[in-house]
This record gives sequence, C-alpha cells and structure tokens, in this order.
Amino acid sequence: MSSVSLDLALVLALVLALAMLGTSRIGTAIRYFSLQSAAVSLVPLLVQMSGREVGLDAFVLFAATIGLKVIGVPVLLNRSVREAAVLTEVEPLVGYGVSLGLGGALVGLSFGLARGLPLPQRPPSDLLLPVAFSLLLIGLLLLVSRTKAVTQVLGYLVLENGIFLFGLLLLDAMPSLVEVGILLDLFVAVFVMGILIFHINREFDHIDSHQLDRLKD
Amino acid sequence: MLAILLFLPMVAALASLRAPSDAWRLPIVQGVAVVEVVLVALLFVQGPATLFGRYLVVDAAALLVLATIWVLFLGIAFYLRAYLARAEKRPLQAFVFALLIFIDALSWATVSQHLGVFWVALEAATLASAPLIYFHQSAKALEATWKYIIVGSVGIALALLGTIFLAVAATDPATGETTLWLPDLLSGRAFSKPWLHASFVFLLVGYGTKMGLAPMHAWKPDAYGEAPPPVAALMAGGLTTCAFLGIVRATAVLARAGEAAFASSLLVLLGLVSLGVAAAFVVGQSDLRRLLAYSSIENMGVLVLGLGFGTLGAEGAMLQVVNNAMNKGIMFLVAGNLLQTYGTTAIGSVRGALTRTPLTGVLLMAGAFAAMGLPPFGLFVSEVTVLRAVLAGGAVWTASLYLGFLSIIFLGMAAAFLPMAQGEAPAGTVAIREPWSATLPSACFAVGALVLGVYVPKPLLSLIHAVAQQMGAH
Repeated sequence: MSSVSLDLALVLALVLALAMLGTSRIGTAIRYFSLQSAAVSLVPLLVQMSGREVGLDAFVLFAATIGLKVIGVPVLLNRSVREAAVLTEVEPLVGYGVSLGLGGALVGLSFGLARGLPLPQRPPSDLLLPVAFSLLLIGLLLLVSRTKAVTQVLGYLVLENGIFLFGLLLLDAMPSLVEVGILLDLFVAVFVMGILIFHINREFDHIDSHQLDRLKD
Repeated sequence: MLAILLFLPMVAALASLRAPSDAWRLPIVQGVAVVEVVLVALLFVQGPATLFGRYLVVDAAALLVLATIWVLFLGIAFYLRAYLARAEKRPLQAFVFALLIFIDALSWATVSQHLGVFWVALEAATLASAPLIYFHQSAKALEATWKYIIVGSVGIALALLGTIFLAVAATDPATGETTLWLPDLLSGRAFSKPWLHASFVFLLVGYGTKMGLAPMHAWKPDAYGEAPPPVAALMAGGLTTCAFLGIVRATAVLARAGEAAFASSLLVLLGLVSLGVAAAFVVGQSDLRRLLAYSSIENMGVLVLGLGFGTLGAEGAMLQVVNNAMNKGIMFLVAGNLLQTYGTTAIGSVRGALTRTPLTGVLLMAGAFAAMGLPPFGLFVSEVTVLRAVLAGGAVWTASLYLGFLSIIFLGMAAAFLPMAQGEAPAGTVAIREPWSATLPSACFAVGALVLGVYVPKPLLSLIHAVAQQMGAH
C-alpha cells in the first residue's frame, strides 16, 4: 500500500519539476515548487512506514521540512517578487517547448544513470534514484536557462529537492542533528538570496540577472 | 579547550550584535583573534583534543588548517583598524557578526570528523561571507555577491550529493549500515566502486567550486575584485583552504580504498586546467585584485596537482596551503592600502608605490616576489616540492605543462607588479605616512613567508608528514 503512495509522491515531484519548466509565470512556478516540496518531504515518512516503525525524529524532520520548504521559502520568494514589483514573466533563454523537450531528455538520462549505479541495497522504491537524478538535472537546467534572479533561486531549490531524495538512501548515516543543520543552511541560503534579490531590484530597478554583467575580463 | 576555541567566536558574535556602538566591535574581533591564536598554539603543545565524542577532533590536518586560518585572521583583525578608518563609513554591526560567524564556521569545519558536519559548517561559512563581500554595497559588489552565492550554493549542493554518495558507497551490503565518520571510512572497509567514483567526482567539483578551481572559478575574480581587500584575503587564505581540506579528506578515503589512481587522474586534470586558466588571465590583467584572484586560482591548481602525486606531492600541497595563506595575506592587505591611497587598484593607475607609500611599496615588492615563486620565499619551496613529486611520478608532460604555466604566470606578474612599485610617480609626489596597523600585519606575513622559505619549523613539518602519510599507497 504505502509503496504505491511512495511511487505516487515521487512521480508527482517529477511531474511538478517538468511543469516548472513549462510555466511562464513566476507565481505559478513558486506554487509548483511548494507542492513539489510537500511531495518530497512526504517521501521519508512513507519510506519509514513501509519498513520499520516511525520514530519521533522522522516526524520532527517532516514538520521542519514542511515548515521551511513548503511554507517558509515560497512565502519569502513571493514577497521578494511582490516587493521587487517585477514583471511576472519567467523570461527563459530558450523557449518553453525546448525547455520541456530538454527536461524530458534529462529524465531519460536519469533513468540511464540510475541503471549504471546499482545500489548496494535495494532502495525503498525503484523510482527513487531516477527521480532524484531528474530533479537534480532539471534544477540545473532551470538555473542556467532562466534570466530572472527568482527563477534561478527556484532552480537551485529544485536541485536541492533532488539531493534531499538522494539523502533518503542513507537514513542511518546522517544523524538528525546534521539533517536539521542542512535544512537550516538551506533556509539561510534562500534568506540571503532573498535579501540580495531585494538589493538587486533597488539597484537596477529589476531583477534580471543578465544585467549583472559589468564584471568581466 | 577545544570548546572555548569553537564557541568563543560564536559568543563574541552574539555579543557584538548587542554592543553599544561600533567603537566596541573591532576590539571584540581583535580580542577573539588573540585568544584563539593562543589556544591554537596550546593545541600544538598539548596534542590531540576532542569534543562531543567523536564528532570534533583536532587531527594533524585540522591543526595545520586551524593554525593557518587563525594566524591569517589575527593579522586581518588588526589590519581592519586601518582599513575601516580610511574606508567609507558603514555600520559595522552586520559585518562584524558575519565576520566572526564566518571564521567560527571555518573552525568547525576543520575539526569535523563527520563529513555531514563538515558540509554544514562549510556551507554556513559560505553564507556568512556573502554580507562580507557586499560590505561596500556598490552595484558591482552586488553583482559579485550574487554570482558568488549562486555559483557557491550550487557547488556546495553538489558537494552534499558527493557526501551522500560516499555514504552509499560505504554501505555494507549485508547489514545495510553505513557511515560518514572519517575514522570508519579510513579503516579499510569495502566500498561500492561505482558509487565511490561518482562520490569523488561530486566532492571534487563541489568543494573545487568553493576553492575556485577552474573551470568552476567564475565567481572568484569578481568576488575578490569587489570584496573589501581584507575580506578577500580571508577568503583566499581561509575559505579556500577549508574547502581544500574537504578534498584532502576525500582523497585520503579513496587512497585507503585503493583508488588513488582514479583520484589522482582527476586531481591532476583539474590542477592543470586551473594553472592554464590562471596563466591565460594573469597576462595582461588590468586590475590588481582580479590578478590576485587568478594568482589564487594558480595556487589552488598547485594544491590539487600536488595532492594527485602521492605522499611527496601531498607534502608539497600542505606546505603550499600555509604559504598561500601568508602570500594572500601580504598581497590583499597591500592591495587594500593601494586602493585607499590611489582610490583604485587598476594596475595602470597605480605607479611609483615605492615613492608614494614607501612601506607598502616594499611589501608589494616582497609579496610580488613571493607570489611569483622566487626564493627565498615559501611558495618557491612548496612549488618545487610539487614539481619533484610530479617528476618522481614519471609524469614528464605534466611537469613540463606545470613549469610552462608557472613561467607564463611569472612573466605576467612581473609585468604587472614591478611598474606598480617602481614606476615613475607623478612629479611632486610626497611620501604618505601610513598607520602601523596598515603595514605591520602584512609585514608579519612577509616575515612568515620568508621564514617558511628558509626553514619549516619541526611541529609544522610533523603535521605535514602526518597528513601526507594518508595519501600513500596501502
């Protein structure tokens, strides 16, 4: 039962990543990210439910992830979009169709990569590894193919969600304290980026990072 | 004692937030720096220290890096007095807080024996350095900070992935238990080879981004060019060193697992690419601080190249770590003085520093000779050690590329530095008296660089040997 819901959550995360590639509105992209984070943060709970009993720290971690990634970060990003009063277009460097095509290719590549790296132990779901690789690569694609500072941050966050899924391969090796540390770092990172976006807007009257090209050799 | 070393800067950072005025904040930083250097010196005498069970241990590599970053920080803490007095006035609250958190996070990273903790600490240091770079709040500084934080965040995210992969590689197929403890990883356990290889690639790219190895160096010239020079010195000598420590640890794990050849091929490749990029951009560079950034990329290249050549190469690399910190200490603080005297660090606009600011001019010459790798300065010794290791490894092509790139960099630096120091100063130039805190710190670094070129003290040498032993064949 729970392995079906586990697969569902993973597929949902993947579909939302692709949807982020296809959407033209920043607000929509942020909402997709928030939903994706919800799906991703459910995964460790579902993994634990299928096996042993669920410890308290799993719930604490779940609550922390929801609080930070599903609520905190999207609120922060929405605020910086609103206060920066930017145009709400995503402004990709490549068209949405091409983005989606590339995204599809990356998903294919991810399944190939996952086949090439056999796990020492059977993972909780066969989809875990390919989806994690896909989020990683789609995050990188978002990061390099979008010009707005906010969408670059979103790309980084999708990449981070992919890494979060990889982290589930080793529920034992990372003490909860370290995981909380990782989450905290992520939040501060987004906070710092939010502040920078605000300053970029004040300085340049928009948050198009392509204006940031005065420094060169 | 380790507890004081690790928590004092944190407490001081919080205290500095509550300090009644900016006049209190700099003395706090200086006080912390003095106490910490004394503590590090005590660690040398006392030997290994631990805290929180196995989590935080001062091993040889940690002590070497701790000593390097805190000595550098001590000089910079006193230099800040002169720098801030002459710089445009800015509120110091956030700056001093971020500065202390930055150096504290670096210290935590060095003593972490759990690779997850190491990652968290290094990421914290990265984030704390963003407000430092943006201190002057100019449009260019903003651009530099944005690039730094985005490139750096992606890099460090990939390092996290590498860390996770390492734990997967270390999974025991029978029991499913795994580990990220360094002592366990170095105890000769069995690894899954494909995951170990993937892990090393990601760790090298991730921490390599943080070090500023080419081709992941895009943020470096911008950040070093726009950050306040003392901050740039701290990043070039401190942050990069700690990131390199991550790569040293990963390489030790691979060497223990019998995969030294795989690690070394990647290290040598990245090292040569970095040296090549540095050579290409040092020549004809128009700004002193950007030039120093490329010089830093060069030094990082030498570090990983050395690490790729067994015990002797690792010895050269660890010695290079200390020499690099000293040299960047001299050069960036000199760049700070020139910036404040001439109003720019554009190489074409700074002329006759020996006439206009005699002490800074002399230090510029000393630092330039050291950076160019001339004897009797320390960088000469470590770069030659790395060369010996490359030749001993029979890699003739690598050796000739290494020498070729170093020669180009030598010429590029000579063409840039010498006119700055010796060139004709405009007629009627009067020598400026600089405050002691503007010149004494870099003078001390210069003496350090000189001493290390003539004689490496025994305690330091034994640390270097201990680290290098881990890279040997098993």
